[in-house]
Amino acid sequence: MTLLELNYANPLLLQIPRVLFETFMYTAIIYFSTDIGRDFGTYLSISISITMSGICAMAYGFFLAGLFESLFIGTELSAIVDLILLLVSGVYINVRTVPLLKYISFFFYANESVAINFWLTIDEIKCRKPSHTCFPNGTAVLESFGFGTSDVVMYEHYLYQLILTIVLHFLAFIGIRRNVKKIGFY
Amino acid sequence: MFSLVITAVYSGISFDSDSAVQDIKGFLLILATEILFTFVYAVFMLFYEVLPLLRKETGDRLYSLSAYYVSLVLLMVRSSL
Repeated sequence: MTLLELNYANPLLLQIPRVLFETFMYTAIIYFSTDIGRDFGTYLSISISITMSGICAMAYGFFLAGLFESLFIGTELSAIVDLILLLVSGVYINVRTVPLLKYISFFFYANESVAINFWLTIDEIKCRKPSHTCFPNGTAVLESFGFGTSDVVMYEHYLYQLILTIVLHFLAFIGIRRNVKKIGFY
Repeated sequence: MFSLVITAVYSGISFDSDSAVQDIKGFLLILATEILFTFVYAVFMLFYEVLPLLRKETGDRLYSLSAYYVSLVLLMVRSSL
């Protein structure tokens, strides 16, 4: 029985080391090819932050599978759910404007954690044109985005993401059980 | 593959340009969010491939759905560490 479960878990499990491996590869390719990507410590902390959100993202994938009965409906409608999560992540809107809804979005956690990882290492930004709005250092930039300005905020996000992952898995299981019962057994 | 596309667009950013902060903000954003989509849809698509087998096996009462799900998640957490 255990063997069977393992057997059918296999195709899904093969995807798992991807989170770690792919994140590190992907971040390395993008980060080190830019002029700002010179610090190996920042690379590691960014990769870890994305990996934490990646685990949460996989839970969200399960959740979507539970939410929609078929692949066809799922691909049509999941874009809407994605859009909501992306909109409250602080991409197109300052996160101060969405006080509560942002905590359900793993995009928000990833976005803020990576921003903190990067901007806290920047001690000085040169001002090219005094007429423009100038930020003296990375902390000022973070404040202008409405993000937290210390490492503690990032660790809190890791914790919140863990809770969110558990909640999503719980909801996903309920949804999948409903789907299996609704479609019926063979 | 899409990391190469992002690289192509963002390879020119540096602190010397006038719009440095805006550039880097967008860069970090794309860096953080774009790969998460691939994780979501990898699981999402695969689950529907496993679903027919899952329905058959649970219908035959070989194992309960909760046992399957818990084992899946536990194994997932262990191997991603």
